[in-house]
Amino acid sequence: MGEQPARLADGGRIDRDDRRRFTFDGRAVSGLGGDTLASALLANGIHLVGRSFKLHRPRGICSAGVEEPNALLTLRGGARREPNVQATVAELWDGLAVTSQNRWPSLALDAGAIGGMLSRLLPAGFYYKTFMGPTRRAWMLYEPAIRRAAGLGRATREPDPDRYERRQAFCDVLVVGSGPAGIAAALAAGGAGARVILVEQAARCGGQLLAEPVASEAESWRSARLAELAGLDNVQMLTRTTAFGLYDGNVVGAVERAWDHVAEPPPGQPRERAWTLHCGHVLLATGATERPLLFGDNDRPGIMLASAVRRYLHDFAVLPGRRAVVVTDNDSAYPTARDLARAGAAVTLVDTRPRAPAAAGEALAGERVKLLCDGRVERVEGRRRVRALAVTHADGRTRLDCDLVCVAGGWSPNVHLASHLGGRPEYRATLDAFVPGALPAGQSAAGALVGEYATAAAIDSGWRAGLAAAGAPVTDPPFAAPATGALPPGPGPAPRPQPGGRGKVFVDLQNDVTAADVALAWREGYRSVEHLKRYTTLGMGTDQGRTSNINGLALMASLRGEDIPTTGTTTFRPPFTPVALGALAGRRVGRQFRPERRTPMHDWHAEQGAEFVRAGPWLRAWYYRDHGADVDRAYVAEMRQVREGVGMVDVSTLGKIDVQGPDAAEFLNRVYVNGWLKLPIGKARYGVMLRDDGFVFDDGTTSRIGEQQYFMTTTTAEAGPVMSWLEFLLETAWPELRVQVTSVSDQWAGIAVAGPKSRRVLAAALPGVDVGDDSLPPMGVRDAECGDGLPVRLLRVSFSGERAYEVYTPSGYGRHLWERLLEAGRPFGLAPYGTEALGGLRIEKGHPAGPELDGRTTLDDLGLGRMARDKPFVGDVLRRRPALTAGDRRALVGLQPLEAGEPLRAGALVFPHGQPNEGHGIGHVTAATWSPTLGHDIALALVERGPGRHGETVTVASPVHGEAVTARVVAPVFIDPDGERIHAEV
Amino acid sequence: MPRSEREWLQSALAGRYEPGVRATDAAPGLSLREIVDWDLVQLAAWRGRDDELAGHIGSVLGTARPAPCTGVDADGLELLAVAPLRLWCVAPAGDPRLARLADSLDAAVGCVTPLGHSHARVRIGGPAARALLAQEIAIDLDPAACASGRIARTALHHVPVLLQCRDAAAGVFDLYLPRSFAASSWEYLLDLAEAHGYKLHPRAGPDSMA
Amino acid sequence: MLRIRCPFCGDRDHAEFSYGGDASVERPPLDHDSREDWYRYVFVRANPKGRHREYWQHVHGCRSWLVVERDTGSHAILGVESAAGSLEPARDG
Repeated sequence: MGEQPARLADGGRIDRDDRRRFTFDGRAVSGLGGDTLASALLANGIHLVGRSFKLHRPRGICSAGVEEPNALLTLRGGARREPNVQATVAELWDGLAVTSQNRWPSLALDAGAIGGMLSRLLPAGFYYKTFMGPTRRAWMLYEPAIRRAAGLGRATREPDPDRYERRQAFCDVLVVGSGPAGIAAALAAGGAGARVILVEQAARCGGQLLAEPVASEAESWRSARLAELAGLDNVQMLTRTTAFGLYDGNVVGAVERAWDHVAEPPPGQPRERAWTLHCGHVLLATGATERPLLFGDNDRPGIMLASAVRRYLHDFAVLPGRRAVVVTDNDSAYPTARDLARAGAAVTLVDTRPRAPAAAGEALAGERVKLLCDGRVERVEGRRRVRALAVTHADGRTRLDCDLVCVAGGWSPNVHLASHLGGRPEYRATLDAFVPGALPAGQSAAGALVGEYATAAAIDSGWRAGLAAAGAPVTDPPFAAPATGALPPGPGPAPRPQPGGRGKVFVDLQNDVTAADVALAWREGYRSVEHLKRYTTLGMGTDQGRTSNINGLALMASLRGEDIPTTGTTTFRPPFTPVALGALAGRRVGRQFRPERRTPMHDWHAEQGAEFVRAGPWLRAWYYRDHGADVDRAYVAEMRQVREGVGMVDVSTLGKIDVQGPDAAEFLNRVYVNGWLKLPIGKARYGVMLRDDGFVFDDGTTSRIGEQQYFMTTTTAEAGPVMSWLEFLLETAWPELRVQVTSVSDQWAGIAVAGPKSRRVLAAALPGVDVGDDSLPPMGVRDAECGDGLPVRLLRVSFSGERAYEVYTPSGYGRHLWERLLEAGRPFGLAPYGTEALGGLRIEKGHPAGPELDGRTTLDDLGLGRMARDKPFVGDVLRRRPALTAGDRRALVGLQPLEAGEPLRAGALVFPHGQPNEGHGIGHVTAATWSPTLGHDIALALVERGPGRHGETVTVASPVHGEAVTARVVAPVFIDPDGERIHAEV
Repeated sequence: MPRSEREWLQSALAGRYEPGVRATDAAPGLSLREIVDWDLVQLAAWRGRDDELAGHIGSVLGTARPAPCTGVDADGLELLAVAPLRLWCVAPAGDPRLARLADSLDAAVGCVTPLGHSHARVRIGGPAARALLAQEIAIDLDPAACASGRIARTALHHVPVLLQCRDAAAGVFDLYLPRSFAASSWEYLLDLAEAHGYKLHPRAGPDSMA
Repeated sequence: MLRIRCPFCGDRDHAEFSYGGDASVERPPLDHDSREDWYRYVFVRANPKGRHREYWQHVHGCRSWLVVERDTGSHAILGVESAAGSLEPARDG
């Protein structure tokens, strides 16, 4: 057929009726349903798919799985453009647009590769030396050019249009990997009644069984066992799902590419889903990865892993080349040679060993495969596709014409997950590979991961591990292992062939690290594996060095004259394969990045044009646009409204705590610095709490509602910490106290009504409630019910210094109360105000708040030292530390500019007048506002020996604004120092 | 109950609640409903007096105290053991037994805290109910691990919630969302629910099915 | 990801808990006036590798304060108890 010329007429797990068109660098080609992108490209005879990271060498498809170092492509376009996708992992869909990466102007003719110029520019250790050496500054100059030349694909800069999802799941046994061992393990555990989840990163289950022909005993076994698994209700199978990390508590992170194999996910469906799997037992059956061989120009397109070629033959019915050379140092590549020959290729097998073992020889009996032993690759011909191989062998030297070279350098078990919790893999000499070391309780491993490469042995080990994981007695498998065409690597490792031949010997194909680079690292003293990795970037690519780690390690070991276990191995960290950040975020994006807290009156504020400000999770009304074109105009109008008439502000965000119990007064007396034993019912008191270390923690008013019942308020910011602190004290320090504390922050809506007309507004809004000064004097508290039944809690407390009330009602009635007050207040000119005006009012009055309660101030710093009573209370001992009582501490003062028009800003530094504005100064401005009462800016500041400086002149500098204002230090109370306005009424 | 309560009362989900079907399939995977007209009172015992609190409940309701993290239903009044020493009593609004439980508790045994306005309550049913909850909640909701009556205070996207399994076989759950977070959590839940398709039912009382 | 078995609520994700510091130091009585002892209680920590008793609050669950024994080397949770003394039976998660 004209299209897909390398597609075989028979076989494969592809759907020949499902033709899928796609483009590769604009060229229209086609594949079939069930293809990966790599198998479809190979079916079209396309091997050259990219240029390498650093040296821009032409590269082809090397593998058939997640170990692929070369075939990184950019998929899709527009907002969905995604770079660095492994062609061997991506599934083909109709209409897919694929572009190659890191080439200019085209894949076939790449300017970056001319003369190998980058090879000389970017030796091993380039990045290391650049960053660590004196050339660090030059990096800034060259970085853009180098990044452009050496790199991978480019991600889109548009917002991701797709949905992602997170999911929690629980199981008794998690089986990772669905090869023969994983299938047997899941069946064993599932049959024993355990809740089982089986995850498989590929679209099809089977692992190495997929490299067996569709008409084979192995395939019959695979489909029969998968059908049995599907019949077990207690077994959940997740395909296209990669277990990317194994974490403490047997929690496994996995990502399911749920709808990544189609052009666009169906509506509402996630492209990817991040699973958090909580597992009683984790059974790893993650298999093994074949290693390439080291020889000169071993990176040419057309050089592939032998096991991958067999997979392409039988899973995808693709013949990647018609004249093949198989180069191997073990038995496992013999079936590839045999099956290539059977598929019609001319095949030569070059075994690096002096002679082929009997088992291997048998595999070739009667097949048309030429066998050359004691072989070495001398030279590779062909740049954009391998053309010939020159080899030496027992009988001399031969030049082999070829378009495909299959390499087989043995197997590396995929120990990554087994190492994520810090377990060191163990070198097993008989396998020439690392296997998992001792695993903690609740984890086990089976199959090729533990070196059981033969199918029957893998099945047997999986079955036994599955039963053990489920806590069932261990028996023999109930099914016979199938005969397969595969061969295990052999009885023992062959001597590792030394890299030889002409050209660069690539160890890490993705990061362009050569054997010479490893030697350079060794010569320059970077000899530990961790140094080797960082110096050469070996194994640091997106493929995490799956095909290169052991080869690099072996090279370093031989340079050091040591064995591999002495040389050691690098650390494996999650994720096993790249994970989209979107999948980890799920739907926690945009407005749902974090939850928002809204007061019961929130929607009213929004409807009436409030601008909101964030206070932790809370959204609070900052100011109302009706009151001014911008915040500066609006808040001044709102402040004036309170001083001259009446305003109201939503204070539902205050922390509210119900404190009850026979020992409640004693409890409050211990946590607050001031006295609480004599507070009568119906009265509120301002209280300050310290931390154990003697610094101020929080403040607020607490009211005595009943004999044993108190209503505590805290600041908005510290509501949560105060609640936890009170619970801590009651449960650990004073369990003998009969006290219960319950957060009622969400139960109550709160509104502060402030201003000389505030009482009259309340009287009008709350029919039947006596709000006269006799029944509700300053610091008075009343629970009441209006004539129509609306329940309210009234506190006569003031933050602004004006006559003011806090009115609370159950939060479901919050909006109603707000609107009722507004309606009743209309004749009095009542208007709402926001947090900016709230802050301005308290600055005028000199009340410490969040900016002053910054965790570094003491009672004395804030001028509150008089509050402390002579009784034990939290923080009392350490507040008397010398450093906290020293006279030079920064303490609260007021500042006002000498020239009325000059600005004071929060964050500005305070310097002695007439001295250079250098260093940190003698204090800083904590809060500033324009005072409509005084007609100029005022500020609160923490200044060294502040109270002793009243009347002094200082410089208030805000370097970021280029401002230096001369100001006078004054008392922090700017208006009504005698506190008469809380009685004033108009 | 005040005469005009219904006029005054505003759901925390107001403005974010439009009954109807949002699904691409004929059969939405989720059935959602806000539960209204209920009240909640917390009873808490002083340390060491929890047996007397249990006795108080027995004498008023004739019901044994629920085991930790479970609820019992006494003719429509549900007792939820939400924390050590603490029970939530949840009943249809106006159930006189709530007032009896509260008013007759001996102050030497414990205390009463009304919390009826502190939460929005949402009922989640349908075949995808567990899948929806499992998008955020790290608790095993399998019927074998989470039977009918089981409750759990847990976190939903950083928000402390109470989850109640009402019917393990049918997969019906109630979520109590803290009032101040409720609008935000509700918007989040609806967003997550889009993956399954949902039918949002008109608000109804506690005895309605999802 | 740690899973902590709250004596009241059962097995829960560590994200539901907040860390509350070293539980092996003894808090002086409130009326204890020794600045040295308070200094030791507030500031001086052993920072051991291995078994460590620490406070956690089940802040998104039943809000109980717990004493968790944790191996700081392996993160293994070796035991959990209510800080106020176990009052009600633990149940399986």
